[in-house]
Amino acid sequence: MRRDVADYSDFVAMRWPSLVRTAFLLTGDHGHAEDLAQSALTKCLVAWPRLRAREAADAYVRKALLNTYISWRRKSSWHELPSEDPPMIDVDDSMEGLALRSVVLEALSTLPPKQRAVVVLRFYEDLGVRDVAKQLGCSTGSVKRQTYEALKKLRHVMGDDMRIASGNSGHDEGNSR
Amino acid sequence: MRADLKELLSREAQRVHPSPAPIDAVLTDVQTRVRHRRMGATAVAAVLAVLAVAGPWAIGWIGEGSTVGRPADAVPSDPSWGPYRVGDTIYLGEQAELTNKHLADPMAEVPRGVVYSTATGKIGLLTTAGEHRQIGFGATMYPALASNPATGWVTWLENGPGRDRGEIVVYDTTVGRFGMEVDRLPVSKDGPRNCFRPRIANPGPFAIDGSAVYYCTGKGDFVWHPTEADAEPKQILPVEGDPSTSDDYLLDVRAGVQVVARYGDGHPTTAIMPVGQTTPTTTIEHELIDGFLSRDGRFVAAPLDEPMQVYDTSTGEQTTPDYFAGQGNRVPLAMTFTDDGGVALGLIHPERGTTNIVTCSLPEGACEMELQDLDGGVFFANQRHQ
Repeated sequence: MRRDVADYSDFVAMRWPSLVRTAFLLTGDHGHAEDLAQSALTKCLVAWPRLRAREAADAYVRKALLNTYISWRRKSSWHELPSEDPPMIDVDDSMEGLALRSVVLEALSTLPPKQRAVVVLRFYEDLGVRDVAKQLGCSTGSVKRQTYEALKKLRHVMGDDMRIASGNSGHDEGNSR
Repeated sequence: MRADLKELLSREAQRVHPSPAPIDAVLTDVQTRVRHRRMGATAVAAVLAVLAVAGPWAIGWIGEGSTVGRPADAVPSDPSWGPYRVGDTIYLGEQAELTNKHLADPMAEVPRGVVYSTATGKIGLLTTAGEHRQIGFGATMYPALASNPATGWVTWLENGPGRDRGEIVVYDTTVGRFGMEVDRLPVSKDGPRNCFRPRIANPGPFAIDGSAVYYCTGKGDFVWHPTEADAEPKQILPVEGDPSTSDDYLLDVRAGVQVVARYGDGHPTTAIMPVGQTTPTTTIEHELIDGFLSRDGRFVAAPLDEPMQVYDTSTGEQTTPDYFAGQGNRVPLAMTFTDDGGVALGLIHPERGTTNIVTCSLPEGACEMELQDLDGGVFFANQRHQ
């Protein structure tokens, strides 16, 4: 398999949108999200000669994204600030949608970084407990515990919005797929 | 709830319209952009410089364009940093030099020379007499290698029967003309645990200390003594029945000292302790990805830190020499420990792609320029476990 700069460029082009969206859910800010995604791709570039397969590159860049996010959050100077360069966001078609969106982001912002990462990986990226554990480098028990704690907080913050949106009591969290 | 939360998150994410993919920025302009954001600017600059000079992604078959001959006059006869590669050429003492455009980073020092791997998975031995021969074929491209430079043992992972099976090969390079296999151990690579996190490496062996071979699989970190009567491998991490250590990963073992990366509670630390103990004697409040020990276990290198750092394993304190002094805007590309107890660094010029090799004493930190303006990036044997 030949891997060259063109190959890496293809990889960046392919992964960029989804990385930015995942990073947006992690950071709540479009500018930070693009910084985070670019940082992950930069780290991937450093490791690119050692990545043997596309699957490895996907796993590596996602892991780099998570590690960088958690590392940024550990730094005292990191804050979830409004972006200086606002994202191009479609105007939602309803006031309800706008309100719900702000509630979702606000609820996510109350979570510690690892819990937020677990929520994004499990419920947005749709990864199973085992895969989340691999990505975060922790045990499946830790993922289940973090999921439970995160959902408890989300329910507390979102209150009725969550119930209206969900329509059930959410007994499935923590199960391995 | 899960489906609805997923829908909420998906809707939220889909509102974001990412800018065009910053391919040029990542490939060329990233150094400046990233520096403002406290990211790995030096590593990126170094990689870009190496790519500009060597283009390490070209892959073919070993043998094509491969030559063995005498090195340039400027090459030191017995450098304290051991075998090293500059661009596509491995330099080994006065007699041996091997040029092959398919060489990969992983190299391992042995008493009679160096074991190297290629982008196609081949593993070769280059001796100080200038002879070279393929001695194995790794399970992956760029196969990782680990060696004991004192005994001449080297180890790697080969494919086993079945997709998730592999075989750890231990090879004694001191026997006969090109060495011979000591033993091989079938292992299952699969499992829930991730070898990738602390070492940026696939499952397989990563250290030899004495006659003990250390390896990682999806089930944990193990030690194997292939020449002992009871050669059954023993699991080291995670410690069975102790879930509090399930996020621990063995990084390296040298001279009876082990380094363990701990990721519990989202606050990574590095624990150092004698082999066989679980209570750290020293804790470094920092994650040392790809960290590796000096031969005497006194120091641990953090080659992926920005810039590269060295820590004292007895105190946990940083003891990084001022290797930047007089180097202008060069950035560290490679680091290894020297055989006289110091450290050697390859410092690359991001624009010109030329490298200086500097050695520094430890812990004093006195640095000395050894080689200047080498044409290409430098990699040292055993600089990391890849």
